[in-house]
Amino acid sequence: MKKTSSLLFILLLSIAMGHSAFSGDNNGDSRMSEPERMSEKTLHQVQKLIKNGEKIENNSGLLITYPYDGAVFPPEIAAPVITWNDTNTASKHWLIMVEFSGEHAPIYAFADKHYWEPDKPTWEIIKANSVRGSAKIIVYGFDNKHACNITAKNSIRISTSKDPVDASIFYRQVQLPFKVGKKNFKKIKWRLGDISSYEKPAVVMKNLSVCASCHLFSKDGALISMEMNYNNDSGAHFITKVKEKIELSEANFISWNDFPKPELLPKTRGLFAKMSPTGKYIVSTVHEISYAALTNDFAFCQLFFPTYGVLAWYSVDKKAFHLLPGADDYDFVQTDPSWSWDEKHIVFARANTKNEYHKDISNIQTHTEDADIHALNQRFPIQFDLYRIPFNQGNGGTPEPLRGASHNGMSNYFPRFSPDGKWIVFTRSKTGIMLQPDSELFIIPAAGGDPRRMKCNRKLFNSWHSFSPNGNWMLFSSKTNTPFTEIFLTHIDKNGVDSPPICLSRFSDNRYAANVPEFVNIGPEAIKKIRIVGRR
Amino acid sequence: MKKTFLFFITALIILAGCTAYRAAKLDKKFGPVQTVDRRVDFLAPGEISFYDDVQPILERRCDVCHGCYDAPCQLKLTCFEGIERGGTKKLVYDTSRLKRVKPTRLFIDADSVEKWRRMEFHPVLNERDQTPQANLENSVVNMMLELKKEHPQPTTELLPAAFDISLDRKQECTTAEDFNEYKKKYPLWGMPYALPGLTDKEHKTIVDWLIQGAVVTVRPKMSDQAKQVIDPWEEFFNGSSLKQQLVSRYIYEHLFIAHIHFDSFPDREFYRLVRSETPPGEPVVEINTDRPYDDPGIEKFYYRFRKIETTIVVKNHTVYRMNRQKMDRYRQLFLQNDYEVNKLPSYDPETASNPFKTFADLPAGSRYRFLLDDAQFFYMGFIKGPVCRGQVALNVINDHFFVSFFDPKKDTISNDTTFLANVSDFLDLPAERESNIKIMSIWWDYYRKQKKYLDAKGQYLAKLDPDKRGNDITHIWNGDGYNDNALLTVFRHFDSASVVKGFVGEIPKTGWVIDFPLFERIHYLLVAGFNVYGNVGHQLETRLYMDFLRMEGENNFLSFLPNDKRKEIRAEWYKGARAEFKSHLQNPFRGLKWDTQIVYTTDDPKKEFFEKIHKYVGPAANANDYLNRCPEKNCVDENSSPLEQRADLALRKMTRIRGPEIQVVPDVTFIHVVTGDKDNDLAYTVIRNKALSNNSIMFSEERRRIVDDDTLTLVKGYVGSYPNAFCRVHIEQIEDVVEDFLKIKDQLSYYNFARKYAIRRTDPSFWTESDWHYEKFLKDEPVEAGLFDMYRFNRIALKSDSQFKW
Repeated sequence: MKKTSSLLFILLLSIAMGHSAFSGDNNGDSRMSEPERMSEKTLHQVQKLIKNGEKIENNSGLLITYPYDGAVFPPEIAAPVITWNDTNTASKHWLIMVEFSGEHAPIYAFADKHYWEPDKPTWEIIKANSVRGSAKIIVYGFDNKHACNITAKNSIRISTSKDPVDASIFYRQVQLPFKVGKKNFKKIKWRLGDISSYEKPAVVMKNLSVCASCHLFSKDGALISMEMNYNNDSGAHFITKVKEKIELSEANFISWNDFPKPELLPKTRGLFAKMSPTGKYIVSTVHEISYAALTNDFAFCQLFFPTYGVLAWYSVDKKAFHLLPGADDYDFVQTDPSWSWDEKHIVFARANTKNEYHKDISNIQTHTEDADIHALNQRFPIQFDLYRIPFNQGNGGTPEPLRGASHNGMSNYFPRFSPDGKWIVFTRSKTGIMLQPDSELFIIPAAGGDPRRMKCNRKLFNSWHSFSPNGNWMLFSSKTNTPFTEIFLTHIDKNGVDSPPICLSRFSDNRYAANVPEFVNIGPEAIKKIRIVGRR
Repeated sequence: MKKTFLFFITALIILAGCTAYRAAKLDKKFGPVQTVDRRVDFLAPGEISFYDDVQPILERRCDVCHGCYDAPCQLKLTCFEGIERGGTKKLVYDTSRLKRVKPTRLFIDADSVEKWRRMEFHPVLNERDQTPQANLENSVVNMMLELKKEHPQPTTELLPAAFDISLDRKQECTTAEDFNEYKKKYPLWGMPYALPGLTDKEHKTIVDWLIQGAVVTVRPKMSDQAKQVIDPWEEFFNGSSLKQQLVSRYIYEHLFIAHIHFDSFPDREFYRLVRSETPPGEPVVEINTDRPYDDPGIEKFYYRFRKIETTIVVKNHTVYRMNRQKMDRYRQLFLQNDYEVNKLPSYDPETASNPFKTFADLPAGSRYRFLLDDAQFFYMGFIKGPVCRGQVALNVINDHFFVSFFDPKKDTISNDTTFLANVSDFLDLPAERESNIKIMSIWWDYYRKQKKYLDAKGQYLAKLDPDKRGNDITHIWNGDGYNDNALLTVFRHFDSASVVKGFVGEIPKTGWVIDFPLFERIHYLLVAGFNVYGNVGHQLETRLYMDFLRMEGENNFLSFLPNDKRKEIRAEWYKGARAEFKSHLQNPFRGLKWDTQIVYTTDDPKKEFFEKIHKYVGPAANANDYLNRCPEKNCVDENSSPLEQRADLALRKMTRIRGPEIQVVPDVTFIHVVTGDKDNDLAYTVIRNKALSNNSIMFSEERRRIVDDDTLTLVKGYVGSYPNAFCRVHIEQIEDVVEDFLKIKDQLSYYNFARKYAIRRTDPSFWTESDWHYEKFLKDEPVEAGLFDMYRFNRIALKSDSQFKW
């Protein structure tokens, strides 16, 4: 059985190589080859390569770019594409070996390009054998002119968690560069995806003629809420039950502009509104003024932050708006609230107002700046601190700065509680709130404490994170690979320790940025279509 | 081009046709326009009296804008004659005027309604059939009030954007014939404009008066008691000797804009000194020359006192007190001196515009003493006279500076009649060439003359002081130990200004020290020689020449500072490449060769000098400014009440914010501190001082602003004629109010402060507050007080209906 298994698990993907020594085993396609069907010659070549490879160390000429070393995969996830860079010009072909810490025999594959995607059965084998111990993925570069001559080598380790994600992901796809206007809003797509699927997530909403952005689902997945400029009301926000076909009409919308505003202020957007986990309340920035600039920087084409604002909450049952005491100080800008899962606390970002950035408060304009994000950050700095208040049935309380996420010479924002209530993950950057190249994720105890930089951070832009309902996983956005923002997933254990992330490549698109992703406690089929009926 | 012209002509014809059609309709309905005699000898019981019933309403609700030269549409509602005259679209202040225009001074340039109509003034009262219906339907006054009643001003927080409240807003000046069009176009623009409407009672009073035919009783003649006081004065001024005639001319040319108050008269009774065709004892027939030194046109004229019949508005209220002591002083200065006048000077412009030629026979020292005695009054003339309106006219000076004077006993030049007569050609002023547009050549002429004067002065001083020891502190006039005119502070509030006695506020950027030739020239440039009806050239020449005079005053100031520091200090005043170049060209360090005899012990000689002056002037220096320059933490005016001390200590902290943070603070804010005891409520003024890199350039002021150096000054009582904001705070909250004030840093934080404490234009209590300030001012300064002008009252913010858009 053992031998059989070993043999059975030796897989070889033979890639067409024309004049190669392996041409006899290739049919010109990438395909899986059963070991039994591997020719003696091929088998010999593999063994020779492995043997030669053992003699050399990992070298930087070949770098496995994905998965990241130490990455942890969820058990239900579909196969990733393993990618590498090989700067050694002699490397023409690559042998991929997946080695397990258990008794299972390695898996081999050949490639003549810089990637390899295991097929579903292979990936399932890899996952199943990387739960107890990590699997090692080794990539050998070799030169086919001198058979079995290893030109480069590198390896990483991955593992598979026992903890499933058990949730879908709802997110938005926006064309870059970000442009405004009805025509461009219509190109925005909203998708609901399942990480186990080998298909692209389904589009559930598109062709909107108005802007829509921040959204949230209730903890049980029964309700969805979203900012959507229904009837061109920038403060419009819908809340409705989740079902296969969601039809939005006036009855589903509230408007933050129904909350009286001081006359000087522009109409509100209901900025960064967040429905409470039970769906009873929504808390949002109101009376806000925002600085917004569109830049010539493709990846970071906007700089946006509120310069002024307070928090207000809406009672869904009573259909009434109220200021949130403790987050209603007009000497500051208070924004970006986040609920604890038991609805007892709200953490929000607070900064000194920056209204001097506006030439005319009564006529706020989005600026078009011929400058990159770094130059703009120099000109328009702002640093937020995280504060925590009790919600206290809407009575609020005294705001307390959150230790580890305040007054640290950095901008701290986008707090999100872990579902077990133990942790808060937030974004930190030198300045700003959106979009910041140096933004990174940090974790602190929910009551404040020493911050820990998360391992999942990538080199460029890490933000907009969301915990899976079971609390084992957290997704976030990053531009580390491409200006077209991608969604990443990291495992978080009960001690708040995270893993190097995995990238949800099927959620990506080379023309669209995938942004504002949220975990949803529903299956991927639960929503098939969201559309607006009546006026829009 | 041709098409546009045709379109324009067609539009004009249609417009004129419409007006003519509407006029014809009114003619048919109410008869033709005719002369209406509104004077009556008495009123029947129950009839509305203009003076007792109507004028008090107009004063408080209308005159706050419709007074003085800058009354919208020249509609002066400050007296019956102004209402009767009506309005016109012609502007008094017109910076684009290429030719000077005929003056339109009420009471002076026309003496009948027919004459005003010929001067393009239109009626605001009914001048057709005098029926009650016509009296209302043909009266712009009624229509404006009705419009306000039909469309009351919203009491919302912010004034609707439909109201233009900028200083140079377009003036509509509608007539009764065109009123329907105005009404359609501007439904919210009833009167009072952009302020709350009248109460029903006030409205009814005015409407009833209009229905009644807008009649007015004849003014009572001057009382015997008043006559007894005025007669000797008229006798004095009309003395026949050549000396007396010259002295009278000199005094008249300095007092022609004065609101003269005789000590024994009621507080609110004021007179003007005028030239009249008629002798004392007869009604005054004022000679209407453009300027006081213009040829009166008749051989014999008389100096007379003419009662001011208009509401007193503080913006042009320059009080000059006359009493027995003053006459004695005149005699002492001008008539007891041993000098002779053998020939009277002519009125030709070249001579008349130059006081050093015209009055060369009068002792210079006496003339200087005459000016110093009432220095604040004369300085106020520069500030409140007709010259002073608008930003360009005023940015020749800094927002805040101290003024002191050379001691007439020590300053030889100010006493040397001969020297001044000898250099009088160099002291010519551009007013001699009025309404010229060859600005650059004129500027060059006067630049050279000024230079020659300063050179001559330098040579003169060199002879006097061969050791070049320079000035010491005793060269500063100490007010002779009692005269509180010795030190003055000037505040410029963007497009208006104020002058107060004493050194008020923090140590300013600059200071002036003034001698007689400088003082006299400023008066003749800005007051006597300035014709508000002159053309743009005249206005620009005045502004440009004032540059020379400012620099002369500043250089005098520098002459008291250490020689080695002067350049550095002046460089601070004239930053910027153009200013430096201009300063180098126009203002080399002439007259600054001498050192100073003052010994300085600190690194800040400017501050030290101001302190030395203050100490030296002593009792005449006015009170210590403990609100702005208190060296200790808690110093207070111990003579004030505990409540006042509490308010002082709290409000003093307001001046802590400065620089960019105060850009949104209005130029002049009046604060009403409610104490719970109505009679003891307190008033303060907060003034914003805006720093400039230099004053060398007339335009682009925004580019010369150094906002980091902006400061606030707190003054007890009132400074400024044009409040931009009112704040009302309770003494029990005063510390909290100040805490809130200190949070101001931008438009929004100011808005947050203002919506809590400011009285907005839309506030239903606006008039109550406005009345309180006026009454408080009258109570505190019964003679000097006047009605504040609300034309420049700010909105606390502009309403926004925008919404965020990417």
